[in-house]
Amino acid sequence: MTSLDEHGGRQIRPGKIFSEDHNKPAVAVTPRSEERVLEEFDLDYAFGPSNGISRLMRWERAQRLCLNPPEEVRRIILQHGSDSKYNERYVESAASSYNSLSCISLYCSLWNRHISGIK
Amino acid sequence: MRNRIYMAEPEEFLCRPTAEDEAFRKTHTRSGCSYLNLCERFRLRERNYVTQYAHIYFTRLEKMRPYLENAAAREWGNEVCVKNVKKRLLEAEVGERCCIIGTLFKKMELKPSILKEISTSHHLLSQPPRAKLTSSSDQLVVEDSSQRFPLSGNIPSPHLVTGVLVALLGTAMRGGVFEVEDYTFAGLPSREESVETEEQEEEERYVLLVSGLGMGSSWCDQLSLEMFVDYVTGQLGGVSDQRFCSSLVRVIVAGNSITPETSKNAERQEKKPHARFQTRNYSADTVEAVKEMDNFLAQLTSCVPVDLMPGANDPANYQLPQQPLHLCMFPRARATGRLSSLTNPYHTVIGGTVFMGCSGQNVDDIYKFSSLTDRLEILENTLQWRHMLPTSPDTLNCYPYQDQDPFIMNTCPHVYFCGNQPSFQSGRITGCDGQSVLTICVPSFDLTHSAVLVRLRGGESEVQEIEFGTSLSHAPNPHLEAVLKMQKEGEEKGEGDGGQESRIEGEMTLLHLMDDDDDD
Repeated sequence: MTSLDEHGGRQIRPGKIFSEDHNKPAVAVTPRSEERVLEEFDLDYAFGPSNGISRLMRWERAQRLCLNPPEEVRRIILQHGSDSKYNERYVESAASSYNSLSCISLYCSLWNRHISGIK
Repeated sequence: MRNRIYMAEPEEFLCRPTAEDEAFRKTHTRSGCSYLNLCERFRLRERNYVTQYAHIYFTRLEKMRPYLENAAAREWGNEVCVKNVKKRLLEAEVGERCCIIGTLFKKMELKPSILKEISTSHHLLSQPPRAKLTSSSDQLVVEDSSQRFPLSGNIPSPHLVTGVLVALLGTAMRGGVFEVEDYTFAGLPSREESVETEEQEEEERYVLLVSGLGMGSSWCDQLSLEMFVDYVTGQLGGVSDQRFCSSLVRVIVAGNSITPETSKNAERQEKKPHARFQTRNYSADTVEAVKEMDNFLAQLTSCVPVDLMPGANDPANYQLPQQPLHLCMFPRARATGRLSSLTNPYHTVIGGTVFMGCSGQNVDDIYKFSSLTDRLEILENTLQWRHMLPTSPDTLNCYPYQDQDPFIMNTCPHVYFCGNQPSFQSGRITGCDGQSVLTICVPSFDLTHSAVLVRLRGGESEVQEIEFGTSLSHAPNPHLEAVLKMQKEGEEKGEGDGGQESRIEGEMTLLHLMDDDDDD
């Protein structure tokens, strides 16, 4: 699954290992590319599902599990404050893995609603 | 022949009154014991139910990955593993012999599915309740966040359940199936050194485990409960019994203190527009049951510290980890200050011995979804899998954690129990580092009228069942018979009765004064 970028021609591929980017020289920091950095962090499945969790919490979880999340992401989020939209959950879940485990989660939430009588 | 850890001396009963009354005026002081409550990690601070359950699975896999890599290295030698442990399932190539690590998922036809119920027509009822939901068409699949592989080969699919973390040695075949040569689990966790070096004092200390008291039911045996309380408070038996009971340092009530009958009654009643406590001349069954429980606990806590765990039938939250029962429900017992309300699962250190356990929901759930019939074996498997509730959140409801999985066992307990089982079973399991764990299936008191006594000795703890039977003959408990019969009918494969009925020879029946066939 790829998405073309009008501005830079960079493609976002699912599963792209983030650590490869450390070797590239830093680009000029504009708000657009900061968003790009955060989006790539969201799409990298090495750090787990990005749905329903704030980026900072996801970063801290990856840090605790010794997965070496990039420092840059944390810096960007904290720079804009943890209440800003930079810390918001990644809403477009196009690339998040819809394997059977998230189907289980769908079943579980439906079942919970069923047994608690919510129609 | 196992050594009994305790037996009353028969000469003390019905003896002639002695001239010296000191023996009867002597008071015994209950021994003190160090106690450390480690249930904090199961307490829920903020409740956020918006998140999906995928986070738990991810965290579980990543946390257990190093343990599984170590286990794989231990089992299959360093050569295969250093070269070929795949970080992602995606990296396993066709035809290459490698080691993969992932979560198991079992596709089961008979598993209750909300989608099946909704998609079929509305008037169809859900499937009838069964004891076991396994079928011969169940298929095992290993997956992680990148990919999944259906499994075939040397892996016992009927025994395994969804949510178990496994390391597999084998080859990925063309067609997407992974052919398993060998498999291993994380194994027992290592023991913390600080707990090991607790000095063993000369004094013998005991802990009593009981579960399934079933207060408030119509067929509750009041006499057994009274005997239990009298025994623990030292009002039963002779002088040596009292001396023995003074070395009982704690009572752990492992769930299901209230009978499930009350909730069934509630379903049968038509829905009233007002809450029950607002209607006159009507008291809810659960309120009566809780009052009975308060009286019971008040008697116990007058002289011994009690740990209370919630169970499936108790007025606590439904999801695991169940939060402690609120002490406002037990005003009399709370006033003594010796009642501790703890979480389910349970984790404490009593006198240097680490106790970990659950109120039985984990074992009952695995029993339904695997073909294993021996509950002790299921309990020991959860130790080998290093996870107390592997089937959560798939079939066992649990809180949607985002960044942790507190049910992974980080340290090795000395005593590992699960409550509310149909019969008493105990065993000992040893890990690869030599750590030994005493596993106990605590029987349900309302079925078997028995409790479990554990002698605290760290890694060498011993266990015995104590029965508070009230029948003068060995007449079987009709309720227990009915439950066991239902279980047998529900089991698909007739591999014999559920579990080895390993009643230790030291079983004591207190009112068997006229009984001749003592199992000495």
